[in-house]
Amino acid sequence: MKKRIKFTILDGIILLVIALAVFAVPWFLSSRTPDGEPVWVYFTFEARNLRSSFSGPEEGHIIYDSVRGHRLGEVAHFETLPATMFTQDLVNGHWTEELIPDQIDARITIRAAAFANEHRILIAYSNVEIRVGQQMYIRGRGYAAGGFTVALNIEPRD
Amino acid sequence: MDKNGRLFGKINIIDLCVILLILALIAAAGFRFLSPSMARDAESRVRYVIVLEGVRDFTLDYYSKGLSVWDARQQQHIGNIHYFWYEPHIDFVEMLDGTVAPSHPPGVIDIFIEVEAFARITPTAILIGGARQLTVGSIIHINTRYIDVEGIIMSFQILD
Repeated sequence: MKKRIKFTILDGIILLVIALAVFAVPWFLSSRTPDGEPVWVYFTFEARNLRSSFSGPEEGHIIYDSVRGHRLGEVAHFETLPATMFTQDLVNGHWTEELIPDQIDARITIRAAAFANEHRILIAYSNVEIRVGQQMYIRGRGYAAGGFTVALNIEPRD
Repeated sequence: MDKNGRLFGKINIIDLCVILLILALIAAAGFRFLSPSMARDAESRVRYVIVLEGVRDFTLDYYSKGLSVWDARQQQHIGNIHYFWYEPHIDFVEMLDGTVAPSHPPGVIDIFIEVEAFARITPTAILIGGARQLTVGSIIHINTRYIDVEGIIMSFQILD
């Protein structure tokens, strides 16, 4: 006996969801396709108030986004500075800059191949947008830190 | 509803809820992606000022006239920088004698950017970038090519 194929409303809903997903995925990927001129981007990541025992990266180390695992680039320069804070003199109303004991600020300059257009600078291999003021969480071999991008520079890339 | 939980004896209520949910998602997607763009429905030119309070002074180097400004959440173009300036940031400090005094934290400024854009003016709203309402006092998260920052819309004027 020939078995009749049953097609229920639930099957229709599932097909509709799959169809939406099929069209949505290419759209989503295309909106992040790198476009613009190829550049080298040098961006400086700053992490403040780290323990003085923070060893940090060496030049040439690869840096990753510690949340999503995307590769961000390689270390072009690394420096540490004594951590300071501005405190208020509540008698005179002045600000003074004071050292914070046993703490440092770290600045890592990262170099990455990127594409730059009018709207964004996009790292080539990870589609991560880079802007000054952006909060970032990075990791490398044996270290991780959270901070902000504080400087940005681009150069043409052949 | 019948004893089997079907509305009018035909459609299960769970199936109905799922259908309504999918229709709502389709409607939301349609509104999001088919909203008129700034270029298509340009009606009037407006200039509005965004104040970026308490930002570090070295970020001033990344602003320039003509730079495109984007709404970071909706990824819509909301104008170009027409002019920008800065002032020292003011914090109010309670002194030991109980008075309140203004103070200027070192290295911290307020940046004001005047953005020129095309807006769609309706009876109830002024819309920039398609669907973003221009309202004084509202917080706006903006992007430029170089900067990611949150500010407050301080004022606006309709030019034509």
